[in-house]
Amino acid sequence: MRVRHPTFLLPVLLSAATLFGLVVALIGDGFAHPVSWASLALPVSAIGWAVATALWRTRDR
Amino acid sequence: MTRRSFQLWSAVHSWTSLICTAFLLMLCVTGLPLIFHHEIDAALSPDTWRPADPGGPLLSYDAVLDAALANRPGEVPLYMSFDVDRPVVNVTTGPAPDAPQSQMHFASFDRTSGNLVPPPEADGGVMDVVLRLHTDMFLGLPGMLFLGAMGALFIAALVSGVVLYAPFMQKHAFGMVRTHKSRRLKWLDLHNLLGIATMAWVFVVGLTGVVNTLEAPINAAWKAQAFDDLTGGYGDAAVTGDLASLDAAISAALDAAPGMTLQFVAFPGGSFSTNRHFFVFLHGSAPLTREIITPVLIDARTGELVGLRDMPWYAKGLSLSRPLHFGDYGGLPLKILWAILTLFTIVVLGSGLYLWIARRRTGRGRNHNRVVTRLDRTAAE
Repeated sequence: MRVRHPTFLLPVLLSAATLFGLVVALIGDGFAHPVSWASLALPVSAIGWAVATALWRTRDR
Repeated sequence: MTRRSFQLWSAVHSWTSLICTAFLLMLCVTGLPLIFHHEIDAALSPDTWRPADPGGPLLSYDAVLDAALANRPGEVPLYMSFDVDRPVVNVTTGPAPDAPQSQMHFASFDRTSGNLVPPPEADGGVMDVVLRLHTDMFLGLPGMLFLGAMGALFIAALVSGVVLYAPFMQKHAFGMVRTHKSRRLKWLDLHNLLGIATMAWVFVVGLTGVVNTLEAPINAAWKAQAFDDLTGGYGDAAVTGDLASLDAAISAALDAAPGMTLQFVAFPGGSFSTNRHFFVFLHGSAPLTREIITPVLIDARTGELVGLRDMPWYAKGLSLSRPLHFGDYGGLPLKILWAILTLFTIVVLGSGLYLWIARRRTGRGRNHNRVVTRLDRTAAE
């Protein structure tokens, strides 16, 4: 059986990544930009991953 | 969570969302092209202008001012502003220092030659309409404040949605999307997933959007405070005779605030200055400090520093709310992420509306009841 995480663990981690990404580009130039894109891409990829997994399962059915 | 508090939060989530959803959908749809405002403008009317002497020496501000006044004989200077990415100075003149906006004349000058820079050919057109819809729906300040109220309701909907995520998802793993059971369950899962994964971004953009709607009252308060502070005790007698050199005034201001750059100059007698001072507005150059403006008061007769004031906290809050709302401070990839997150928000809004309609059509939601039953059971144990 899969290990169950607390309900808010991933949402809180994704929110922290988002806030970090929003602030880092505001404070720094240059290298801060790619860091910001990578952080903000995390919530987007989490959604992409979940939706892709669901579609994959549906197709297998 | 008790059954009672669950039902209360559900009611808050339903009603706050229902009131604001239509407006939020409009804001998302108009916001989407606005993210790329700069790129769209550049594509629609490419800037083919080049300075007369690229890389050459720059004229003094006094020389540019002379050129501007020679171009508009008999007028007085009101404001001067400075392009960031090209050596261009913009001068606003008028028949009198207190001329109404309709009588003001705006012209741009090449700082390498003093020549006029032709104004952009196309006006904003479609993008201006989109921008007005997004900021005030063509209703001015009341429209802006109304959209701010809708934004506040949206934030309440977001917070209550996050609270409700717990009872709905307690028994399930993050990212669950049940595609095979019913259409409603699929959209409920998508609503929860997209809502919770984007909550921090939506909260920041929502909150900064609300702060931006308060721009007019915030600026009025700041102006009143800075003016009272700096100009108190100087009387209101108009300056007579020749004004001090503009270059001297600007360098006095720059000396008083090391590390800052020139943003805007207000000439004596206009609505952004007093009758006997230049107001020189300086700002930083990093994304964070670019929005933080320091007004410096300069005596218009002597060109000497009178004083400067840092922005009060509420005006700083407004300044930081702009980039955090527009997403224009981290290059094109940041804008693309902004657009994707906006699309996700549209899905959350649309699915929320769909779920509300579907629940009404079939009586109270089955899933909703299941959560209530479980809460009752937990309370009994």
